[in-house]
Amino acid sequence: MKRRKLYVAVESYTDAAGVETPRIIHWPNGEQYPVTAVLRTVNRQHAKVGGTGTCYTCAFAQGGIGNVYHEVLEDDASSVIGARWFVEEKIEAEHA
Amino acid sequence: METCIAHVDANCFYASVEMAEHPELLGKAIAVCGDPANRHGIILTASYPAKRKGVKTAMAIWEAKALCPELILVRADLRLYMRYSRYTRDIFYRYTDRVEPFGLDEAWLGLRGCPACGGEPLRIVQAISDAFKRELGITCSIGLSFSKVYAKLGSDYKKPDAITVFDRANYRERVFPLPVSDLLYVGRATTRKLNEMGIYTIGDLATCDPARLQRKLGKMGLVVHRFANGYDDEHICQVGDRAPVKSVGNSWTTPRDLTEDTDAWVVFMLLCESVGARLRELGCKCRGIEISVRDASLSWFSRQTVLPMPTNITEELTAAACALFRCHYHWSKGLRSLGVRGFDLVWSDEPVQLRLDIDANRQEELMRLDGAIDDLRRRYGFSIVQRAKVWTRPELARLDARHDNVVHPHGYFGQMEGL
Repeated sequence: MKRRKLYVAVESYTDAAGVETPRIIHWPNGEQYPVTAVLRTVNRQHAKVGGTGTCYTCAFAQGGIGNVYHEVLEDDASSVIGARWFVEEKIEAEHA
Repeated sequence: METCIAHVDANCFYASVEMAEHPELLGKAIAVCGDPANRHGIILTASYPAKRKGVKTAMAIWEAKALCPELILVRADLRLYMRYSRYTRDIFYRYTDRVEPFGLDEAWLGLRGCPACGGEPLRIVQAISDAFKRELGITCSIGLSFSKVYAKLGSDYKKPDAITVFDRANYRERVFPLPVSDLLYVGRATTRKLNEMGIYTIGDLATCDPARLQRKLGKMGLVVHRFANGYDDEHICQVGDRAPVKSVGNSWTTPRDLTEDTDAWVVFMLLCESVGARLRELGCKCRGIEISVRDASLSWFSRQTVLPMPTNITEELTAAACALFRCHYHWSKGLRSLGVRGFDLVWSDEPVQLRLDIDANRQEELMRLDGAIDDLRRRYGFSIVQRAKVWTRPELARLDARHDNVVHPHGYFGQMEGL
């Protein structure tokens, strides 16, 4: 099985202190994964698909636990203009 | 004095970042290179497997490929490297607020009195090294010592992923046998002069009579003597300290060789527009200007001159740069890159002695013109207004030196003197 980095749309909530929490992960195929709890946040590199950022370990409504990474995004002048989310996508060998 | 200054150097930074982003490159011979189409086609950084095959920084791509045919070339992505550089600083700031960056991939850290890890500098640098690996997927070499120069020597001493401590007890046996060329600010020319004096190691330099060094090397002789003895007591700046700007400069490797004066004028004008705009933004004028010239065979020189009056007017900067250029270059070869730097800065509102031979009304007009151009470009972008003569060389005219070029940090001495 191969893995690759997949940028996804995420609905998140930012509290008054600026702490951001992912609420729903939207996969490109339309599937939605509501987050029931964030178990841990830690800055970490994703050793398998590459990239670095804040890793949110989340429990999902469908069951199961997974990581969503929050990665900084810059403009052409390297000023930080926001962030985006990525996950690890597993690809079956024949599609790889 | 305790060993509480660390120098952290990320190993093969650009290549390591590419491998952290693309794990499939891990362990392979890769090299990050500039854009060959814009004639930046040289190796910027190589991974360790590539280095083992002889690939070195600043080598031409074809040369590197000849040494290592399996070399994987990766186009440099400066934005990505700046992001990782910011991440490295975020890690440093967890342990200390005294972080002095030296380029994108190196920094000095002041660890005296830092409460983290029981206040033990060695444990702090171990934690930093671990965080580099865990959070960024890259490794670093760290030197820990009682002086900044020795800390830097320490980070170069063992690579990759190593921590070297030079303390009062071991520095004579570990630092003194190192070749003198390892020392900060001892380049090729200084090494040659020192070798002529019979000085080959840092120990030779440290024990040499400073007066003798001063006779041979001038002021720098005393500086390198202090460095060799670990006598630098330069402080490491605090977070929020704004490093004093000592000079403002830009350079450009042009898409084709420059062959005559108008080519050079166009490039100088574009560079001076950037330097002038940045000076105006800082509220400064420069009292001196320096040009740097690199010809097609990559040999390089720089020349500087003092200006009749401090200025940040684009037209005056360009005229001074071109005059200096005409005095010192006679087109024996085509040119590959030009640079302009305004130095010896003063505040714009500082009173100056007016001169009868300089038309103040004309200066006033030029200042208003620059102000108008700055405003237009701020609102609508660089290309909204340009000088017509620049477009006599359309292939050069597109340079937005200010935004296309990264402004590199100033040297070690940059922190030492105020504006």
